[in-house]
Amino acid sequence: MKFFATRTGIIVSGLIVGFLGVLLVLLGNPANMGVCIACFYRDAAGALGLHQASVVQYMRPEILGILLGAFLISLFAGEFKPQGGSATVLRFFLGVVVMFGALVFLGCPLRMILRLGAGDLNALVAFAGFGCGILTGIYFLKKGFTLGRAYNQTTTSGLVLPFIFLILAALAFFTTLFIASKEGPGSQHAPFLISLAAGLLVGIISQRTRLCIAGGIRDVLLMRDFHLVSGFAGVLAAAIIMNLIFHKFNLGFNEQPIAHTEHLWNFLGLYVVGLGSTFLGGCPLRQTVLAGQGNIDSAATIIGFIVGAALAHNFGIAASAKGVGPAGKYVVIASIILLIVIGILQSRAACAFSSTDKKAAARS
Amino acid sequence: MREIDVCGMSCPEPVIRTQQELKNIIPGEKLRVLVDSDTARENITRLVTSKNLKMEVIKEEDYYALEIEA
Repeated sequence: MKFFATRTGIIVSGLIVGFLGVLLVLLGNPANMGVCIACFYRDAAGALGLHQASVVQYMRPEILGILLGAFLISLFAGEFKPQGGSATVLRFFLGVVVMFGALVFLGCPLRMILRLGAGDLNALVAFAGFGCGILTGIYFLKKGFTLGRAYNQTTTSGLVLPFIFLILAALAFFTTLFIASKEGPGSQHAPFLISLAAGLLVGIISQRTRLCIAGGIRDVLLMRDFHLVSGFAGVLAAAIIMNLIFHKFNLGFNEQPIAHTEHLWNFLGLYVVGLGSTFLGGCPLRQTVLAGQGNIDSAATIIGFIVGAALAHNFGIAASAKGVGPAGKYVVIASIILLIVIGILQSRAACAFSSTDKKAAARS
Repeated sequence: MREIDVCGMSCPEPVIRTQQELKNIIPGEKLRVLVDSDTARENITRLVTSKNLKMEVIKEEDYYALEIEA
């Protein structure tokens, strides 16, 4: 188990995630969408009927697998630890906002890497925005930004989301209860059990390595620590190699699959994701893993992702390959303003926390 | 000995607080950091290693005490 904590461990893990990311596309997933946390919560929200965008409705086994994989390995490793109470509702809201940003770009940070690995240069523009968002987040963190402490909670609370995801996986496998797209990206998917197994594997290695796309860049900018970002590099390297082997590498901005070329909105969309993820303490992948290991605040964030995805498609906020609509643009600007206001307010709140919260309170 | 308690704080607050505290510490002084997550413990370990400082990890009931020697 110690292997995962090493530099080699995290690079190998990144390579596996990148390999699976392209493999799942070869087996039927939408292009450059072998693993995309934002897209998959969006598809799951559609499958549950929370939005009516008929082309993006499918209960993605990968996302269920990632959370359940992290849950199982955390039990095995003794790291399943129900905790919560760190600005839970604020985290829910941040989850909604992060999903808006991701759906304006058309992908979470993980899909950003997979798109880069396929030669989609729009993802490079988004990457710049993501980095700037993280830099803004670091500015606030250095000013004392905090969402406050999490406290130990009951096992029952920590089990709620893993239990729901288990039930969703069982219903998706054994019944035809959920809505499934007949055309578009939602209709494209790898075989159920392969997707589920890939998700479980990604969840297990992400839990062990603490893989986090936002955290990787944040640690480089903040501490010149290249540990987490080596996982990022592994994902990118594997994706490039796999795409080259299977002739799916197409360098350029135009005619990229499930992508648009509106640079400003690609940049700002992932700026929102970078800043929001830094406030949350991790990217959507990491939030999923943390929820799997019993973190109730991350569970609230995930419910925020799902609600955000539903709102994004119900009110025209999400982009499409044609571009970003007016609602998407207004919402991204509003999200940036709100995030900065939250940054200022929570940095001021830090003083109150640090003076009153001593260790006795922390271990309630 | 200085002491900071970063239990329950989300990433990367534990490591930032430790980093800030290490700036204020005088040579020979010890810093005791209380953490309750393995991720935070690993992050602080990497920070301490990168600064070539010595650290002792003491496992308490449901948290770790990290004693860093400046």
